[in-house]
This record gives sequence, C-alpha cells and structure tokens, in this order.
Amino acid sequence: MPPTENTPLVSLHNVTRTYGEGETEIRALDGVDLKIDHGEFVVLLGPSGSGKTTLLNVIGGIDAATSGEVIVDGQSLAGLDDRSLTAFRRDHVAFIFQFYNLVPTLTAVENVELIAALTGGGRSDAERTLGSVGLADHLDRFPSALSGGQQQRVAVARALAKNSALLLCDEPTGALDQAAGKQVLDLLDELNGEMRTIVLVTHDESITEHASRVIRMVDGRIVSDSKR
Amino acid sequence: MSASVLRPKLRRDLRQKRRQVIAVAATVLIGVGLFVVSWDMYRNLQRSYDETYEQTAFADVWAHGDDSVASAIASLDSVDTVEQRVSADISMDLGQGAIIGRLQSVPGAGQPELNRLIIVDGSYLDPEVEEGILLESNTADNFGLTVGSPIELFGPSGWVEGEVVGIAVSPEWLWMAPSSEELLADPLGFGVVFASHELAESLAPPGSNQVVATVADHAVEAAAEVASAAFASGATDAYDRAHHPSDQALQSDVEGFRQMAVLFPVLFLGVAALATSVLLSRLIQSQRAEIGMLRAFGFGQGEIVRHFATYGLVTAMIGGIPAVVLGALGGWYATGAYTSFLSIPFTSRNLNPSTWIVALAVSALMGLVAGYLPARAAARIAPATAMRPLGDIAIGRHSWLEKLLPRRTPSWALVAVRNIGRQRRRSAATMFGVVLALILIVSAFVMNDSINEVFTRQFHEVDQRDLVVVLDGNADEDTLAALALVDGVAAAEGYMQAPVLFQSETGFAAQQLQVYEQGSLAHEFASTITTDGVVLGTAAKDDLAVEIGDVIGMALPGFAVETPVVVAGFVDEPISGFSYLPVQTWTELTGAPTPMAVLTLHRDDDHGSVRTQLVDHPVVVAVEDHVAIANQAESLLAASRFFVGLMLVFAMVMAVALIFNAMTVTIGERESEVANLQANGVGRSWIRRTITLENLVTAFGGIIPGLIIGRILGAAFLAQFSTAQFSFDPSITMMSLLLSVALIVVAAVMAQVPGLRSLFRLDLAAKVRERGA
Repeated sequence: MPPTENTPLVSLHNVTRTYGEGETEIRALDGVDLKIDHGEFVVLLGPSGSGKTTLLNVIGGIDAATSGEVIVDGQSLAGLDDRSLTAFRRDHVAFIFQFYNLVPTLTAVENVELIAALTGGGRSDAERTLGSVGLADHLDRFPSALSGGQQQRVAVARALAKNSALLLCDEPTGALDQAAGKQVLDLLDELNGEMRTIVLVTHDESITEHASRVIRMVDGRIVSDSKR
Repeated sequence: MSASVLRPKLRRDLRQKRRQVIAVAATVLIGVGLFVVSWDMYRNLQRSYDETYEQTAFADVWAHGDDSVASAIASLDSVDTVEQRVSADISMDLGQGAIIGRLQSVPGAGQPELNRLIIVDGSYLDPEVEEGILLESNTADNFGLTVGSPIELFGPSGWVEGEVVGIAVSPEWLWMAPSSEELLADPLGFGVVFASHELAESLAPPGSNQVVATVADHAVEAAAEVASAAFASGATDAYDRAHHPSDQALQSDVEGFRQMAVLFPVLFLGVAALATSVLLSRLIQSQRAEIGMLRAFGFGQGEIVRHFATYGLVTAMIGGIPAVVLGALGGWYATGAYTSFLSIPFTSRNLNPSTWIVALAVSALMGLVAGYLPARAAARIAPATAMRPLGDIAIGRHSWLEKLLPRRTPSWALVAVRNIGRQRRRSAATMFGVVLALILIVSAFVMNDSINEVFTRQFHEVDQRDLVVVLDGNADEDTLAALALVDGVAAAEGYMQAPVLFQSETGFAAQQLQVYEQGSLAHEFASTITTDGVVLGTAAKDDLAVEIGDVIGMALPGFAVETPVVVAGFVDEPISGFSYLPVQTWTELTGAPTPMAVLTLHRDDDHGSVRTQLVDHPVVVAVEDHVAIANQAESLLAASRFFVGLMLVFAMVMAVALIFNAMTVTIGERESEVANLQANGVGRSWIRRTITLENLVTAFGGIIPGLIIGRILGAAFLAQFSTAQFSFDPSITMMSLLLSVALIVVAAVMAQVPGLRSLFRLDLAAKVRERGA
C-alpha cells in the first residue's frame, strides 16, 4: 500500500521477537502493536531488558520480528531478503547509536561522506551537514581526536546525510555528559522541527521533555503510550 | 560510490596493521619469489639445453654394435640420421698418470653430423696432423691442459703420443658422467678425448663401435623404439636421451627446479593464505560494530565482501609485486650462474612475462580467496548482532585440558588453558600454521638426512673401494701381493668392472658388472656373493622381471662372452645399476683372472700419496680414485645442505610470520581485558605468563601432526628425485626432529614479543572505558 499523509510512517501489529528456544527462550518483544505518524518525536522508555532497543532494531530492519507485521514508510519488512532489507535501510531509515559506531580510521568528514555516498551525496554534502551540527572546524579530525559529544554530533550528521524521513536513536546521550547530551538533543529537536520523525530509546526520564509522545515498555510489552 | 569512500579506511587499516601485513607479505614474497626464480630457471635451463642440443645436433639414440645394428636402425622409418663411430674406455695419460678415459671418434676432416663439437680453444682436427687430439673442455679444466699439451693414449701396440689441437664442448659431456650408474666421476680419474676415426680404431679394443641416431622431431617414443630395435638386432647396449648419463643428470636438475616451482610456492602461499585469513578474521572481529553500522545504514553484503577481500588482495600484492621483480632478477642471475658453472655453451635467458602474470595472478587469487571467506562471514553478521557489545570472544568455558592440570593450578595457567578454547577457530588456525611451518622444516630435514644417509650408505658402507687399478696383466697372486706392499694399502683384491647386458624373457637390462672376491673388504654385501650366479641390482630386477633361480642371458661386450647365468640374489643399494659376480665365476667365464684390482687403504686420507705411488708402479696402467669420487659427492652434499639451510631460513620466516600474526591478534583482542587486570593491580609477569603459556600450548598442538605430515610429505618430495638408478629411502634423525620442534618453539617465543610489548604500553584509562572486549 503506498504511503499517504494519513497513513502512519511506522505500523507494527502483534509483533514478537524471541531469542533462544525452549527453557532458554527470551521474549524480547511480546505482541507489540504500535503506530507512529510522520513528524512525531517518540521516546521509548523502559528499564534495561524491556525490549526497547529490540523494538528500535525491528523498526529499522536490522533485526527481524519473529512474528507479526512491521510496515515502515509503506513497506512491509516481513519476508524481505537481505538485499531488499539493505535497500530498505539505505532508503528509509538512519541510525544514531549510543557508542557512535564511527569508523575510527576515517575522519569526521569521511565518516559522513561514506554514508552520504549511499544516496548519491558527496564530500561537499558531508561538509555542509557537519557544518549544520557545528563541526565545520573539525572535518579532518579522526574520531579519537574528538570529544564524546563531538563524536555523537558526527554520528548525527552521518544520519542526516541520508536525508531519511525516519531517525532511529538508541541511547544517543547515554555515553555523554549533560552538556554534550543537551547539544545532541537540541539538534534532534531541530530535526524534528523539520518534520523528521524521530524514535529515541532511553532510560533517562528527562529526555521525555523533548518528546511529542512517550511510550513505556516493560518485559517486551508497551505498558503506556502518552502524547504530550 | 560508497566503495570508493571506503578506500581511505582500507589504506589506514593496512597502515594500522602494518606489522601483520608485512608478515603476510613476506610469506607471499618468499612463495611467489621462489616460484618465479625456480620456474624461470626451469624454463631458461630447458631452453638452454634445447638450444645447445639443437645447435650441436645432439643424438636421440646411442647403441653399441656393429654394422648390422647401424643398418637395422637406419631401416626404421622414424630415424632421420645415423652415424657410426668408436666409443671406448681406454687407458690414457693426461699428465697426471694413467687413468681410464673415454675415447670417442669424430671425422678427421670435419664435424660429425651428430653430437657436433663446439671448439672453444684451438682448432678442429686437421687430417694433416695425425697425432692431433681434441680434448673435452671439462677434462681440460680438471687436468689443467691447454692447446699444445702432449697426452698419451694406450692401444694394442702400447702408448701412443698425441697432441691437443683443440678444446671442445660436447653436448654429450655437459655433465661428466661415465655412465648412468656413475653420475659422479673422479675428476682426475676420468677424461674424454676425441680422435679421428682412423686413430680411434687403432687404439680401441674390438667391439667398440657405437651407432648414434636421431629420430624425426626428437620423438621420445620413437627413440625408445629405436633403442629396443637396436637390442633386438644385437646391440650390446642401447639407450635413448632419457637414459643418456649427461642428459639424465641435467634433466634431473631441471625437473628438480620444476618440482620446486610448484611444491614450495604451494606451501608458502598456503601459509600466506592462512595468515591473511587469520589477520582478516581478527580485523573483522575487531570491526564488528563498524560492519554492523555500515549494514544498518544500507551497505550491502557485496560491498562489505569486496572491501575486506580487497584488503586480502592488497596485502598479497604488497608481497607479490616485489616477489615478481626480485624473482625475475634472481632467475636471470641464477640461470647465468648455473649454465656458466656447467659450461653450457648456449644460455637462453629470456624474460618470461607469462611467469610474472601467473605469479601476480596466483598472488591476487591467494589474497582474494584468503580475504573472501572472513569477508563473507563479516557481511553475513546481522547488523543488530554485530553492534551488540560482548561478542562470542568473551565466552568462557571449562577446558578438557585443565583436567590434566593439578588441582591447585595457579590462575594464570588456568586462564591460559581455557583461552585456547575461547576462539577455537583461531587456535586451530595457529595450530594449522605450525603444522605448515613444520612441514617445510621437517621436509628440509628429511631431504638433508636422507641424502646424508644415502651417501653414507653408498660411499662409506656399501662401496668401500678406495682405489681401483687397471693392471698391466692380470690380478694374479704375485701382482696382488706386490700391490699390498705399497705403503698405505691395507688389502689388494682381484676386481673387474665392465658394462654388461642382461636379457630375460621379458626385457633387457644394461648394468655395470662388478666382480669381487668372495668375502671382499671393498664391498658390503647383504648376502655373500656366491658362485651360484649373478647378484642383480634392483633396477635390473625390475627391468628383467626375474626371481632368484631364474636363468638369464649375460653378454659382456669386449670379452666375447655370451652365456646363461642363474640369478643368485638381489641387492638393494642406493645406486641400483650395479650387478655382481665373484672372481671365480669371472675366471671360469673368461678363462683369465681379472685385469683390475681393488685396494682398500689403512686411512682414506692417505689416498693421494698411495695414488701417486701406484701411478708409477710397474704393474699399474691406470688408477681410479674412489675416495675422490666420494669427496666429490661430499662437495655436492654441501650444495644440498646450503639448499636445505635456505629452506629452513624460509620456513622460520614463514613460521614467525604466521605465529606472529596469530599471536598478535590473540594479544590484541585481550587489550581491554589486560588493561582492566592491570588497572586492578595484576602484575605484568602474571599477564606475560598466561599469554605465553596459551600461545605455546596452542603452538604445541600443531607439533605432532606437523612432524607426521612433514615426514610423509618430505618422503613424497624426495621420491620425486629418485630414479631407476638412484633411490632415496626417506629418513630423519631424532636430532633433526628435536631441532624442528626447537625451531618452532623459538619462532613462537619470538613471534609474541612485539605483541606483549605493545600490551604493556596500553593507555589504561582509554582501554578500561571501552565497552566489551
């Protein structure tokens, strides 16, 4: 079904994700139903092991649901082969990770250019994007020469470089001090203002201030879902 | 596209792992370099020989026989050219006393049609100079003779004086081997001269006619058929190029280079592939999160595979490209040195681009294959899994090995033993690398020890002749007693050696017959030779397909003896072209005692002075120095030892490179762990002990299979050098086995030093902040 403004950007129906078998089976997601509309800033809250990162990964197509239906930007992820999933991730989603996952042997601009090139972008796009996150003076620095906050801003720039509608953030401030964390969240606010949909996983209650919607999870289930 | 954006990463990854990359590249360099050198030498030498043979019209078939043999050969359709000549072993004095040398005849007025001579000094024979002689060039060098030197040849009418008018290179004497059974000759006990047909016929004994022929296109099968036809028409000896003594020796070298060009590179490139694979596996392990990120952002599996396979390719080419350059230069230089050493008149040293292309292609293929498997595994990692902290490298489990340890084993030893099973594939790769390194080391030792064993067995146990003398008369009691009185002689016995042709219902066998007294001190026989019949070498046994008690025909050219004899036994000797008769049987067959004597000396190193006395002894016509032949064999052994030493050096480089790579990745992936231990106050010695023990135990895991497989492959490698006339029984001494193990332990200890050093220079604060291992 082609997406329209009225159709949700993300739609999950009765999604489960289990790891292991028999007695060792872990049910990371347990019958999750969820719809996320275009332009929302959704914060997924929950204690460790509640399934929030798994949910993010399933939405982003880097992990597969064991059962249920996952539709993102009008595309059902069920049964997609690796090639199709790769194309889906390239065209529809971008990630920001807690530990940045920058390539340590590439400079800041090369890290961004690497991802920009996937959608036809080049070095100038990478430089502009890094400039937009306040790192115009740090283009040629390697990750090891950047602070944690700067590294995470490179990661944000990298995510922006693809111009994806859906931004999936897994504890993006988890490894940062308060000031650096605030800078990153301000950036995300700006992006949300530009109608980018953001799904952010955290266990930090204070981040809910930035959210338009807060979903709480416990034991793989959504226990509350409130719009602000 | 994005792949090109990954290039800086590739470049920096290579730089970051430069020590490991260099270790792999060094192994590739040795393997590919050896291939280029040995393959170029193989091709260049073969071309040099072919060119020499073409220019000199080297014959395809040789047969001893009269006109009827020549007619029979000439009547065959496949035969192009037939020529008759004299070829005989006669006494000659080349300025160092009388010896037995080879006299071959050539036309007095112009070059022969076949086996033409290349005159390197002086001129060809002049019909006007009746006493003119051409001297073979190796003979001239050995005896220090030049144009104008006087020599003497012994014929039926006594000594005949001659003058050297020219020094000639002959395609038949590029390697100075009197016969297939005597590929080594006493340099001062054997020489070759060429005289006109007329002069040679006056000097040679009856039955010295030889027929030489070529066949169309030098076809091997046709030549073999001509040799068979020659036997059938009454030839007393006939052989094709493959059995020509000089060509046989040269081709065995060429074949050796060909074998080397295949076997060693396979081994080295196998190790390089393994080392590359280990290197990449660990690199990928350390970059799991990056790979997961790339996959999450939309990089396809193909791009990941290409990226890491390119890493393998570049690593291989870093070694492969210089290997081609160095190998081509080495092949060029070595071919020249080799042909110059052998005085090959036509040296063909072509640059062989096809060899380089193959070498580069093999290097590239090795790199790609080695990189492909870990790269494919990397690309298949699910992105979410790849980015999850604490991968499988941190899994701890009990090890069956620890059950062998005492109950109160210290923790550092327990950790070491458990770590072996922590990354089983990597431990297996290290063990496999040790196995491959040991294969090369043990193969080298097997070759060295077997060759030593063979030469010791042949020249110091089986053949204990010190000097053989040709007598002016027969070896009767008085003559032998007179020889025994010579200072230094321990025993003098009747003796004879002569070419012989055996014939059974199924085939022919040309052998050298040696005649000894029963109970001789000059030869060790597994069972005493008896008057029951002839004792055959294994080559004759195979050719004739006979058993003990069978009756075979025996023809002794030059003695007019053709008689049936009983096969009394067999001997299994390293040089298997000899057959044996007792003196008594010889006397009965020929009606006269033996015309030679064999002497054993009190001390081998007295042979020079004893020889000098014998040269002037009234009963002696010629002296053959077997101690000198054994010494020549020893000098060839020195070359073999150099080759083995080179192999050992290469094996050590390979072992260090492989173990270094395996161990640095082992150590590298423990950085966070070690940093945490150090931060909590664990001492360096604990860490050093546990890592060293783990590495050494892992290396030891490969030792037993390495020793066994190395022994087997060494034997197989050696078998390639065995011929019908010369066989090697593979062996290795306990000392060599222990040394092999010691070399591996040294390589293992050396290989981990850089890794341990880097481990103790860690930024502890940075490392303990890293997540996971």
